[in-house]
Amino acid sequence: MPDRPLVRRRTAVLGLAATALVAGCDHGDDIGPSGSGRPSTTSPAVTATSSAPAEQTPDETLVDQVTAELGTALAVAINARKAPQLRTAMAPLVKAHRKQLRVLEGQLPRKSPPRPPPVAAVALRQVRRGEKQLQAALVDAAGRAESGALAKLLASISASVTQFLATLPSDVTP
Amino acid sequence: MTTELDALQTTLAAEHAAVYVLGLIGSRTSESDEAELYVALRAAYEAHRDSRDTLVGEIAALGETPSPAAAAYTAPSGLDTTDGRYQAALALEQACASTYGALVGATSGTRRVEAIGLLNDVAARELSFRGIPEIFPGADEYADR
Repeated sequence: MPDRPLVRRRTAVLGLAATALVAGCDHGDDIGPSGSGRPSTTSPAVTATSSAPAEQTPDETLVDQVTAELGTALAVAINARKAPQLRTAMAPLVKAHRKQLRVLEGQLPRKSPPRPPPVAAVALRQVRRGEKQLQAALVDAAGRAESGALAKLLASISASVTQFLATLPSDVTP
Repeated sequence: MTTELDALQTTLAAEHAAVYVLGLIGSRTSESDEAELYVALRAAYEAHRDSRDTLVGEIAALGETPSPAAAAYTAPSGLDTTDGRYQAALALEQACASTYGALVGATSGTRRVEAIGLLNDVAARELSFRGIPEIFPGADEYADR
């Protein structure tokens, strides 16, 4: 059913995200909200079941899996951004993943405790590996989504990751 | 509701236009003085030509008549400069990305997998025309959310 709208994930998850996280997430720190997500695609019937979440649909499960992968990739990019040599290169990737997570109604990573900056070359390898893993997961999920709209969104994010992977620095100077 | 066949025909129409316009841009590009652009244009042209031919076969296999190419297409503006040629090629690829995004949403199974591949390929090609990574290539409706 390619033209079915996106499906909202369990509202219990959304409720938790809404109460646990503060508002505003493009301010550059590592804590942010899940955002308002996909308001135009949520059916009133789904919203009305918020106090008693039903069993997840396959697409809801798919979105949970993808947002987990995306959240992990974002955390890796945020960590890499702490390396001065990678700050500029990581900034647009971090921004993109934040926005993609927001549209998918995923939770942003929690702020990690202060740590020394990572070794840039190691962090870059981790980012590259994480993005490749994320790209494969997105392509797979886009192929399996029941909703055409969800498939399109996931495929679009996979294409975004393709672009970022192609523009990552090939190496960093120590 | 857009059917799979509608989406295939729409994508084929976009491929016809892409082949024409890329050929036009290529004809204004110097292979020696603008080698980087020329190579990128050639790669894009071949990709769209292959995609066009595949779509013609797929639509015919469904028992339908593939949309024919138009006699001519409106030439993009600005083709008299190198920057203009880059911009025109990038705009064309971005438009194709939107078409492929719609195709992903309207298909399932193997055809959807192929459409996802087309979207990823065109997103990568955008970079060869001075494009920068986008957050939602082929799905502009999410850009402002």
